[in-house]
Amino acid sequence: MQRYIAERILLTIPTLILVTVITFFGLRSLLPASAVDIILGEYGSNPELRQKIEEELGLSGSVVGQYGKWIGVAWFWGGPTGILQGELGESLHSGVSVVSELKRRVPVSFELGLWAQITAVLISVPLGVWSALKQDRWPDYGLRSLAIMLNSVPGFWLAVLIITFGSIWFQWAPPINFKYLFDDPLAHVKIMFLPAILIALTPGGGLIRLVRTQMLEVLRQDYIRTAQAKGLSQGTVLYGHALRNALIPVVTVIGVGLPNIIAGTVVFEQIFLIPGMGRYLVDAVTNLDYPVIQGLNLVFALLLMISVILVDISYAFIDPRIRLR
Amino acid sequence: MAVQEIAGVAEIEAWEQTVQKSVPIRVASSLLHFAKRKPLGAVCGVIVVFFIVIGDLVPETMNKISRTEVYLGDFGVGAPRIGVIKPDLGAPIPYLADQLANHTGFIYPYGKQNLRDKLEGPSANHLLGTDRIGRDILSRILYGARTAVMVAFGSVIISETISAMMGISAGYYGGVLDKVFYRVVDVFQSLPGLVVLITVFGIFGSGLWQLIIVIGVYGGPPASRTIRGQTIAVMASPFIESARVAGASNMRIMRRYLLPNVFALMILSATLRLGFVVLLEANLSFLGYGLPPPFPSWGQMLGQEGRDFMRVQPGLAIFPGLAIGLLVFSFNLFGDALRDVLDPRLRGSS
Repeated sequence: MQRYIAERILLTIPTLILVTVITFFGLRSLLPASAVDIILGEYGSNPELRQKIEEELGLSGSVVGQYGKWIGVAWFWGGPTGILQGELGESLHSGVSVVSELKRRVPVSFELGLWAQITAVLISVPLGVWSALKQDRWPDYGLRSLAIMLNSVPGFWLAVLIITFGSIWFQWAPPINFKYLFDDPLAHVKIMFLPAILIALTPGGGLIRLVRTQMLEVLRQDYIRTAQAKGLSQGTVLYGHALRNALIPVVTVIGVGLPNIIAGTVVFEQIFLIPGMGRYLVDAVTNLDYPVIQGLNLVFALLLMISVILVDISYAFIDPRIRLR
Repeated sequence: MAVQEIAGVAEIEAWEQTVQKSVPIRVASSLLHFAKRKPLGAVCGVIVVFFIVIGDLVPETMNKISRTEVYLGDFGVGAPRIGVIKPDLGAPIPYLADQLANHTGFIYPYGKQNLRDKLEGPSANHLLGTDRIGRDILSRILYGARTAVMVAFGSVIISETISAMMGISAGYYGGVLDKVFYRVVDVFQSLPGLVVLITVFGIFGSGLWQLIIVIGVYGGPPASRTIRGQTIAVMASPFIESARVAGASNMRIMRRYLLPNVFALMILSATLRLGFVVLLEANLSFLGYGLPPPFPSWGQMLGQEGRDFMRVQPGLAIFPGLAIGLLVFSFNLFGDALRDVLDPRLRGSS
């Protein structure tokens, strides 16, 4: 087991390195010239000034050397600090260190994504089970159509509708000033409530279908018949035996889905003016703030990788076949 | 004996002829069969075809657009890329609709904006009303269908081509190639979609072909996993062995024996991906990273462009979203029905 976990973690290292290479070279290959140009634009073109700015931004020297600086390998022989030392550089726009900004923003996005995922699970598991129990009857048809509909309707459209008609009919508008959880819990919940539900709808539709499929699969198994033959009550069979086994693949989908949901909060952070990672990204892209863009892409990738590893490991705990392979 | 043989050959030839002749009839009958078994799926297929046809019947806007140049500003920077469209003549014109005045097709009744009719509600003249600068909403939604369908089909074709090439060769050759491809897939899967696409389009700008190619390439490698699995499963069957014994080259085995066997899988993943891409494009356009403003796109109509005027004309908020929902819903249901018919193992599973 420990060997499996160690192997799994070691295997992500090449992936992680490849991700840093892609983020860095993908952006750097075209960006820095224009980033320097933007700053230079205020002072006119001056070769000396240009060189100074390039040095300040860490853009001097060869591209590989710049990559080394960004990673922090250069630190070992006296270069600046980098990722290995837990630094992602400073924003070109505000001068604030990316890491300190992320410390403020990651929890907000993470919380929003988590609420959305919890809402999705709370809605979809009971509905999925109900749909499976009423297979090929009207509740089943209705729920299946609902699930596909939830998958098809863009969440941002519903947000736009709610805001538009809320303001027409009830003179209501979403609050503009964001409040952090520890500053003003009540106002915080009020702000997060609506976006969390709206984000939950799309993954919720998929989860309803998944729970239903899994439930139908499990209910056909022999051990369910055995449990029923033993004379266990319907509730015990359903929740003690069937649901538990049906939820194993659902756990995977929930785990892998979380980072994607967090990435998807970009749209809703934009609509509801929530200062999370998504808005940081949009602002950074607008200002061509490449240290921020690189850092954010890396953090999102890291989130996704960590959750995949966690899911793999939890899977190994649940399913001995994977461990023994 | 000889007579019998001749008769047999004649029979086979006759049979072959009827098979050859009846291809349209066979297609029609299998379509009818599909419609009988999956009425809802068939209806959704019709809706999809409707959107495709509608997109083709509106005048040749896309050709016009590709020849004009989008001016991005001095350094290619700036938030939502509100570019000024430069027509071939060089003089900047404010809106595409003006340019289209001479290209009024069958379905598109308003090739031109009319500033006197701005922000009107639904009426006999404008079935769904008009927007803030007097453009007919229905007309723009019909144009939007073209954008959505082109991006969806274009990028899905690219994704499927990439995933088929990667999946089949990884499954066939195995070894180092397989390991390398697996890493590539891993990397692509650990880059969260919307974030990467916003970064790419936000920095390098966006356009119809950029959308198609980037979304297509991005979706390719992850989809190759299932194809690789299926390829390995097919490799175990005896006809691969006999093909190799008969002296078929690697390319030939992959093209003639493996590809047809994974093709159903590709069609399935493609139909299920179409709806996803439409949603993705809508999300990007909504945020301002899709096609630049004068081009009609559903997501963009719901975005900043219409936001300030939705209180006055709620139609701006309702109809583009309905169009997205209907198209994606049709893609999804059609894909489901197709999967049920093509893949018996999964029948009735969702």
